[in-house]
Amino acid sequence: MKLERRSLSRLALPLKALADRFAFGGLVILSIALLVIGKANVHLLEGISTSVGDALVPTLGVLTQPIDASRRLVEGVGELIALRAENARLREQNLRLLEWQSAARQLSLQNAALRQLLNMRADPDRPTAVAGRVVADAGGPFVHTVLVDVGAADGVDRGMAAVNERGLIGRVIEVGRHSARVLLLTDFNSRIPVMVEPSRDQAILAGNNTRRPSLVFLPLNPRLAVGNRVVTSGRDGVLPPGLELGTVAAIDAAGVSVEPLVDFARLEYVRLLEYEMVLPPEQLEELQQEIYGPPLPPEFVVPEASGSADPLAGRADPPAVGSGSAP
Amino acid sequence: MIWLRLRQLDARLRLVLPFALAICAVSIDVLPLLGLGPWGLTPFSTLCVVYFWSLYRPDLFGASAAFATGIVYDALAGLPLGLTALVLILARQLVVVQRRFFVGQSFLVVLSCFLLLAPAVESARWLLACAWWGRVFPIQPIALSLVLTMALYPIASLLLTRVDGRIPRLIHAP
Repeated sequence: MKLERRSLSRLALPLKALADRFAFGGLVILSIALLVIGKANVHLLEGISTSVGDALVPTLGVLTQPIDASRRLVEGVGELIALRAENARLREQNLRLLEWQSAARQLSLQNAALRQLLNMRADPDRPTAVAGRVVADAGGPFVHTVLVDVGAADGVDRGMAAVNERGLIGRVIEVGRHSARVLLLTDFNSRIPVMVEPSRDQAILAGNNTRRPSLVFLPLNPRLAVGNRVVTSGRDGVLPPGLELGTVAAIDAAGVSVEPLVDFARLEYVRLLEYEMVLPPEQLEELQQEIYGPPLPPEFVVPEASGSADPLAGRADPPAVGSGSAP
Repeated sequence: MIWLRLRQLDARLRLVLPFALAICAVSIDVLPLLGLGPWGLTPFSTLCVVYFWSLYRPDLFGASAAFATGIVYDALAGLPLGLTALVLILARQLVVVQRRFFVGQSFLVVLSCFLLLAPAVESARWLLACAWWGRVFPIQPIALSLVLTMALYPIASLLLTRVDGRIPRLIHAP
């Protein structure tokens, strides 16, 4: 037995030395190959990223608990110190909000009356949301993304808007089984169609890896002022319209920069909004074909005996038109 | 018999400690820490761990471990797969090749070499990222991250030295 082990180790050692010699070169080539493949097709290697995310999200979730707890403790102590001043501020804010509530009620009634007058279609239901916790956020100086602990199993889908109590954070770009990656609106890859209020000028909010993204593709002679609200326009058909993003922070020769409402350094919980987009007719047709199959040939006539006027009712029964061998 | 098995298991687990600690460092790097946020103001502590193990235990932290650490980092941070992996493999190889120079040297020499290596590694990451995305990234956040990484190394080294003392030395280790 001992002899066998010795001979095995004698064999294993040179093999290990050989493997070590070639490992460096092989792994350098593999890394470069991964970079090239990832550049050629971004979604090809997405499975690896999402698998790693899925595997480590529970651990990261546990590790973030004490961080969140200490953050809340620090904030709690700060609030206790400023309790008196905070109370006075809240009283004043409450008075202003009551005035706003009264104005909002009046406007809501007026809006309903005008909608009835114009015979407008009722608004679609409010988007449903999936709540998740931010478990990883360090893209470092290159990318601004966060990893949340909800994924496809919880109903998360690519393109969903990510918001918190202050406003829009970004949108979902990668979805794993139990994790999802959100591209923040400050990332230089982020492009969001927006509208500036009250002028309703349309533009694109382009991330630039700084704290303040900028507005591009503004119309000629835009009517902007510092402090104007910036909201999503919903023109991409992916993000719901009317989500608050930030305010115009500066207008100068370098362009128009926007101060986001969200404090990206303190992201804890996010809500991912499911939004039922309005599809253009050609996309709707494609979707119908995907669900119901290719359109019927012109010579195919639905038998009268079937007793149904719905052409899809005939197609649901393959043996009636096929060879009859379908299961 | 059970004690013997447990002891064997314990010894084997200690051998994978360098890689496990590298993955822990990756997790710390991507954690949403208070006030630091996603503006690059997080130290690249993974580099500290990779440098330490490449220097003191290259037998337990091979090129494949550096590669796997880099892939996990890239996947969690949302970077292109292979970017950090490539840089970490090269950094490890550089340290292993120059290892004879470090024998018997004081901590100050080891630290000085880290202070030389870290900017080179961050520059390589920056160059690769610029080439991959086809744009020039601002230097300032990388410089701040680099300063934090350099400041972190003495603390990381102190902790890792204690762990290193608990890992058994292999007879055929280089």
